[in-house]
Amino acid sequence: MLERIAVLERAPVFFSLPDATLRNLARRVRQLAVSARGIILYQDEPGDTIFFIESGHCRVVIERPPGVVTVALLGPGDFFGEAACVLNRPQQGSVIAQSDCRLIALDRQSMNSVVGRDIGFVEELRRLADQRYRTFADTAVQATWGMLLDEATVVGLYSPKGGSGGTCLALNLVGSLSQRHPGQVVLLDLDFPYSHAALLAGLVPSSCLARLAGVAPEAFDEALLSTILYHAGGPMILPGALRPEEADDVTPELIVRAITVLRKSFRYVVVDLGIAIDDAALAVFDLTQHVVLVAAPELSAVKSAADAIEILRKLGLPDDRLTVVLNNRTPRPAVLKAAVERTLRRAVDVEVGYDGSKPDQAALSGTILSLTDPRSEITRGATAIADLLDEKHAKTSPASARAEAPAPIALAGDC
Amino acid sequence: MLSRAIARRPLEPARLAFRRALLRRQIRAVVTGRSQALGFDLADRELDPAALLAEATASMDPGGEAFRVLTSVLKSSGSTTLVLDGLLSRNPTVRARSARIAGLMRMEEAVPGIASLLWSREAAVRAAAAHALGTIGGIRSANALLKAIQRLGPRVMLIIALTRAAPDLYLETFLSAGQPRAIQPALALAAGLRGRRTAIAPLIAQAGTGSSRFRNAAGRALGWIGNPAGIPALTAALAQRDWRMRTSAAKALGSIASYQGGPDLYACLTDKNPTVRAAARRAMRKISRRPGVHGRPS
Repeated sequence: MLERIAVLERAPVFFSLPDATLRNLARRVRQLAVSARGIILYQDEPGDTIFFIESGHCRVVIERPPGVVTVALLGPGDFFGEAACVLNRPQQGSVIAQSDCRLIALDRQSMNSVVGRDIGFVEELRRLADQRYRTFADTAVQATWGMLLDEATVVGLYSPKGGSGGTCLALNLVGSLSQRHPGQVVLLDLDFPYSHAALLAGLVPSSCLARLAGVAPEAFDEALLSTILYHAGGPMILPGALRPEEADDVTPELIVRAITVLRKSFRYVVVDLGIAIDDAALAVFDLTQHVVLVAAPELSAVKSAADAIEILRKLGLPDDRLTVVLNNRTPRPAVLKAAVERTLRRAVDVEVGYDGSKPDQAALSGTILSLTDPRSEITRGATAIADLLDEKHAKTSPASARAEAPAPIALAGDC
Repeated sequence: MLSRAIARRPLEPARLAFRRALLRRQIRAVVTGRSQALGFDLADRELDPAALLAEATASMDPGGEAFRVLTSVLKSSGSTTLVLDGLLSRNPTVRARSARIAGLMRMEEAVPGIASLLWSREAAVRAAAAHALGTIGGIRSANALLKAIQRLGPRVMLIIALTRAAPDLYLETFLSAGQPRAIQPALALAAGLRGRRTAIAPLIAQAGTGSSRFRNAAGRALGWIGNPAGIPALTAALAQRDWRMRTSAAKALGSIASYQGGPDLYACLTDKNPTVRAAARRAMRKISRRPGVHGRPS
């Protein structure tokens, strides 16, 4: 009972109800347990219940041709299903349990009998439901336009600890992707203060994004595209800054402008984010459709990765849009994969094996392993990440999007 | 008989029509805010206030202003208390009318009283109670109906009322939990009538372990839901030994719009059981009417 009251107290609008009313509501709710990937609500079906999340995370997705758009990631204290319950509209989107969830279900009749006469509360709840309905609709429309215009998928590659091999993997990922999509993949190097991606690829940059800060808007597109360096093997690289002091000129606004231009010209924009979660990184996270998190099997790196995953979740990144890569930089890792997964509380999606001195030799010779050495462990890792990205961000038809829909619900509860 | 009655009391039909019109006007006045009082006699032999209230509320949105006004006037004029008392009356007509009015006005506080009427000896009272619980809806009504199904068996009116009363994921939860076998078929039918896709997984999961009655009901339910996710389970059911299950699976496959026919269903056209053959024929006829289907392959 107390747990149920606590959940109701945390929910928006409901927290304003008096204790006695909350107790009354808590007596009438049901507790449900939904296993991960279970579909709790289906889009376009009618609904009469508000579900409060006691624990776990849920994802709200809207199916809009040509794809499925994630419009919200909900956590403990949030609720969903209110638009159908309060406004009598069909469910706006499907709700999928992202992890094992415990929910509290409050049906319309029970709610009306307890708070039906509190006109102020009902109006407030209606207002909130309507507001969320509009927000989700807008988000879905925006995302759909991106898909319809065939804009690039922005992939943020983030390594929370220096020396994890983030830049090396970013470069090889771009190499692997550009083999599949020649001329359609670009690497934006925002690994400040020292941006080394061009150097590792054997390219000599003469300009960078930071130097475009003062360029007039009408000339920006052309200037940006002319700053991109072309590698003989296919990948393209846009350096963020050539000197450490230039990093300050790369503002979030500049990044947004640049990515907006790049999205129209490429199929994949891979952003090497370095280690800091600063304003620039947050701006990129807002624009990314996928984040690749690189962790080395070291205690501090794993701990940082766990913290980073938590931050990304709080930022609203759905779990299926996050790929965790374990990059073994030593022949005998200090922390085993199982321990890493325990700490991260999720599976490692791709494990990159120890590759000896190959990455260092490739850097010295200015080659990209994924283009030159198919047997390299780095190449295998980059290929696996590219496979995942292609699988998740291929321009899908609605039919194939439906086919990829998650497993249906498995329930347990007390009624 | 009517003419004889008219002959005895010639003004009676006119008086009844007048009284009916008066109550109708009273209700309309309350709804439009011109009156704050509404009274009726539940034991009236001639005039059924429940029918008139049903007529008035048919076009009302239960969440709307007019409905709210009517509910509050009923409460302030003491009619709600009258209805609650009427549920305990010895007169079956009063009990049935009270249940109907409580249902129409979504009186959740009346649910325990209405639930007790599900065990009434009079069929009309039981039907009114089931209908009222279905209309009120919510977890309390659904629990009462489920309890009644458990004790009285899977009666059609109870299953339909449960379909209407059950909140989201209520039936699915019970199906997943593997409730007593007696209520499982009723739950499956209610889930099918409700038509929500969330019920597909529990229906399929339980179909593997449930009784033959449950599997039969689950097959029909999957057909009513009409989602292609149920096709593999139904196709597998075509090979079951029980002819009832083969029949229900054939019927269900015919109801799924995206099903284009298959060798399992064609095989049922030559089934040893005539009912299965007839069901398969009907299903094939339905399928062949769909665009893009050109009949049975050779």
